Amino acid sequence: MTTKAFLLGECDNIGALLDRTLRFDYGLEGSFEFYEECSARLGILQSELNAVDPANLPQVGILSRGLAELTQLICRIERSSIGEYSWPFVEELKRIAASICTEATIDDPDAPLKVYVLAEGALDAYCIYHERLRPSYAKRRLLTIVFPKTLKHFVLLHSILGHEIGHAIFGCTKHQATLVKDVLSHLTHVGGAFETAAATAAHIFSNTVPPSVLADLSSRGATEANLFVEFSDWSSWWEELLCDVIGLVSFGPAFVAAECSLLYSLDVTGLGVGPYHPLVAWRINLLRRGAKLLGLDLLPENDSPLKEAMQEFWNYIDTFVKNDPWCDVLDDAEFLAALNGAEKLLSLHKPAAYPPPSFEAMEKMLSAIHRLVPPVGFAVDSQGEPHCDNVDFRHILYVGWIESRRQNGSGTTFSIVNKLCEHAIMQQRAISIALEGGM
Amino acid sequence: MGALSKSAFQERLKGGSLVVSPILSGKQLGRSSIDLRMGTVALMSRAGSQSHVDPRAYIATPGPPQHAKVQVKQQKHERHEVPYGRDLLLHPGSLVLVPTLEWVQLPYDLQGIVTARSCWAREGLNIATATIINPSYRGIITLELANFGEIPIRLFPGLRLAQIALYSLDFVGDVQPDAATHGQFDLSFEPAAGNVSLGDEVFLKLGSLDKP
Repeated sequence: MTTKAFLLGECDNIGALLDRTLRFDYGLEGSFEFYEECSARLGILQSELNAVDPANLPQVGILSRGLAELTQLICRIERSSIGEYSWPFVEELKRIAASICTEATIDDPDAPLKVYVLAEGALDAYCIYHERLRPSYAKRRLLTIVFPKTLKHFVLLHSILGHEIGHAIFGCTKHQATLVKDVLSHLTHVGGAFETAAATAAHIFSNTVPPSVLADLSSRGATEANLFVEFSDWSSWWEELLCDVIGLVSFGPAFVAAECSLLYSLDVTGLGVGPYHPLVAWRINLLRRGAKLLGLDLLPENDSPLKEAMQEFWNYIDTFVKNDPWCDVLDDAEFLAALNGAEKLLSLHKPAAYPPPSFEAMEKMLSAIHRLVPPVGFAVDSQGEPHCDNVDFRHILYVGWIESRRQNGSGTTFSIVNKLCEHAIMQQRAISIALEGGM
Repeated sequence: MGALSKSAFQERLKGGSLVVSPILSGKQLGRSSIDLRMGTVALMSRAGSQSHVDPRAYIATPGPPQHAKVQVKQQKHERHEVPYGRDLLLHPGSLVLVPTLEWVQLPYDLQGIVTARSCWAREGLNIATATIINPSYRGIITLELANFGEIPIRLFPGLRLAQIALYSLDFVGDVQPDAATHGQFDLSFEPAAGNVSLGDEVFLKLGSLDKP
């Protein structure tokens, strides 16, 4: 049997595997789109295989890899049914992704990427797989969002996906040049710690480096000269910073809180020098500073339970900030310019940018969640008549974080606060449907 | 004990001691009841997963979880998410548990009675047996939907299937129950199987536990 004949047989196996995925519901819109997309991709690969000369081994190799990637995609999707993740949150995330992660196809200059969801792995599983290549100009890329399986209802922590959306946006050809010009150029500004790989290494190995960091690097044989050659990937580091900027301007305070909780649970000192991510302490210090520069930590002017609770929340965030100046890696003016650059791009693609909240609405929602009621845009007026309002889901997340950090809060668990917020996002969707429908 | 009129429950809603949230339309407020909508989860009994309902299987035993008991509990129901726009087909004779869209909190001095809306009851939809919502309850209300008709009924999240009527409780003298006492299903976010043996273990242990 030739390799070509063997691979043609594998095409049949992949087709059967794809059919078996229809035993599951793995998307809000059902399985039709995914099935059609994968069938079309299989069809393209199959016809190319039929046409290829069996002796053309390089081309046969390319098609073999294409089949392997398609199989991997189908297996990924098959592992996740709709009951495994928080679909109300996913629906909001998809709305953001659909608004900005678009690209040109033959039929549509602004076609949204296809988003699928997967639940697997532990705390570090949060990720968005973004296809680097698509099979043809006619097809759209698939975006696979991954949630940790244990954190199904933890929507407050899901805010960290703002960072992953950043990777997806940066992966869109149409936004790359803008992000490089308006964001990255400021993050890598002249004279800053991220100007070049050498500048970052010089900052790490400067006189002010914490002894524990130096000891760790020395024990691994890392030096200023070889750090970004043998141990770490500098381009991954700046992409991570860029995605943190996008996470901040897309999810606001909830993103900062989620990063503090999750990143410090994965690297408890925050000072580990890893291969693909800048130090946690640098990232958290930057995010806190970014929140201040953007005015995300503004409090209501009048004394109120909301003001007190918001202050407590930001005090809590401040406990994650390291006072060591070595952990502050960017100039304020350049960092603000980077934040503004990202905000400008996201604002063009509603609802991608985090909208400033109304303190009045926040006050009502905080009062609701404090009484263990899901915080939504609903109130009963002085006449006893019900009134519904639109509320952005990111404000529900912010209120949830505020309540969870409150000294005199409802006294309930973080898990219950998350469930209340998840329930609220689901209810808020019903409110939006009702308002749009003129009910 | 007396039923609350519209103006009486509106007053309670305004004051916040009674919560039904969200009420998407003023049309949900009836003269003596509030309409409730279907939520987005469905729990169906899994045919073939067990031969019968056995209350002894619910008795808590000390020590680590036992494989068989946990397995029975986990496999008792099939759970389906039903997002807006998707539907659920309720076949004749079948029982499905769905939550209300609304989150409900009753004060210590009110009791709720949940029934099907009459227009749905006329189609054969029954909102089964456990219709009393206890005072101080907080959470979604589980609707035990059964189709008493002869043809399947197609249901969508957001439909007004049920209604809750509210009754004030009489207390003797100054004796009032502890407002902080909550039942087995307090803070429910979706339907779940209850524990049918809880409090009755003494009767269930009379026979041999080895022969369920």
